[in-house]
Amino acid sequence: MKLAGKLIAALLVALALGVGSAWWIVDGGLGRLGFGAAAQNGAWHTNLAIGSPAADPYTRAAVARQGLLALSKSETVYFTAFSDDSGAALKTNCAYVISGGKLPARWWSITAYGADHYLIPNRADKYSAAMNTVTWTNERFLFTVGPEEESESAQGDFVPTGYEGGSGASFSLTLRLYNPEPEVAAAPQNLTLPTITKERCR
Amino acid sequence: MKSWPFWIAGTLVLAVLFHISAILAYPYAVTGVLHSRVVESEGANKMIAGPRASAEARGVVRPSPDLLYAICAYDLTSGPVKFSAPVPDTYWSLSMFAANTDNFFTVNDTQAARDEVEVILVTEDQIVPDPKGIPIVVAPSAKGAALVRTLISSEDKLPALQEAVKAARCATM
Repeated sequence: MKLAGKLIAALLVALALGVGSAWWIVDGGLGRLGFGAAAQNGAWHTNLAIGSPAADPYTRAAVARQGLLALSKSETVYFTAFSDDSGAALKTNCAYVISGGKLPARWWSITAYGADHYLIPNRADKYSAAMNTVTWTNERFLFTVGPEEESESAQGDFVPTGYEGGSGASFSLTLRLYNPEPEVAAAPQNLTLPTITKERCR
Repeated sequence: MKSWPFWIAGTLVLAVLFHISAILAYPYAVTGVLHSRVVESEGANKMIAGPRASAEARGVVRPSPDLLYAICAYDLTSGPVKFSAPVPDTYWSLSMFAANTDNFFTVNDTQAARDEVEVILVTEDQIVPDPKGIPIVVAPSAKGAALVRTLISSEDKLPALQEAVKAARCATM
């Protein structure tokens, strides 16, 4: 019947539009539309509503996709970067220098994740740099994130991004501030966070 | 009279409804899948210490390789659940998550009064007759997850920290 066909078509179009737009927002993550308590600080973004009963439905959905079992802001504040300081997307074929000083938390770490939000396989089983593992010089630290082949010439400690040829894949970095000082949640956009500088690409 | 404007309007209204339903249902779906996966492999109300996160870890997104985790899929439908865990000499926390991803309770090593933390988790209408001074926490949903996090402060301490994480318990009272 013609009417039944039209109804089914309308239903399918509505389903594709509705669910598709929902997935676009959720997969794009906590920064895409700046919902709720989103904050930007250079290349880093965070959302202070993570884990909170005050979180809006979009924040909860994004947490379920990208940060399931994430702690609320009093315990840990998570900053994520999908791009470098110039705004270019982080790619596994490029080497980046991450540099900074003391951060207002009891402990911190910076971890690299693949586009699938899991740790990136590499020969050294090295996935992160942390307050207690980086090399400190005059209260400053510096390490390189990039293709394994760059590790020889890289500055400081090295976190590989599992480059497999071609133009590379996108990846992201998460900065975890455990037991953050009150200033972190009060004004996340004003903190001096580590810089992410692109060095070179393969 | 032309009917196509009504078809377009109807389709858009339906699309908005699908969008809202998908956004609202998604967190429950993801936590539900995690919960049933843990229950299927190890059972509910059991604390399971995981291996140190590596690229092989595909259970929960964005794990930290610098922490040791233990997870308990709690289920309060057959009564309150008691948690107990030794507190090591490094960053440590026990946190609880509701079915909608809300982190409704966390206690960390600096807040722990002793070198062991005990907590009883209940639903709104459950009563613990004799809690023996153990703090009671009300869960917003009968099912959810509890997570123990322990910072690997140094590689030398890893074996001892792994023992401490394995000693964490979650059990129906």
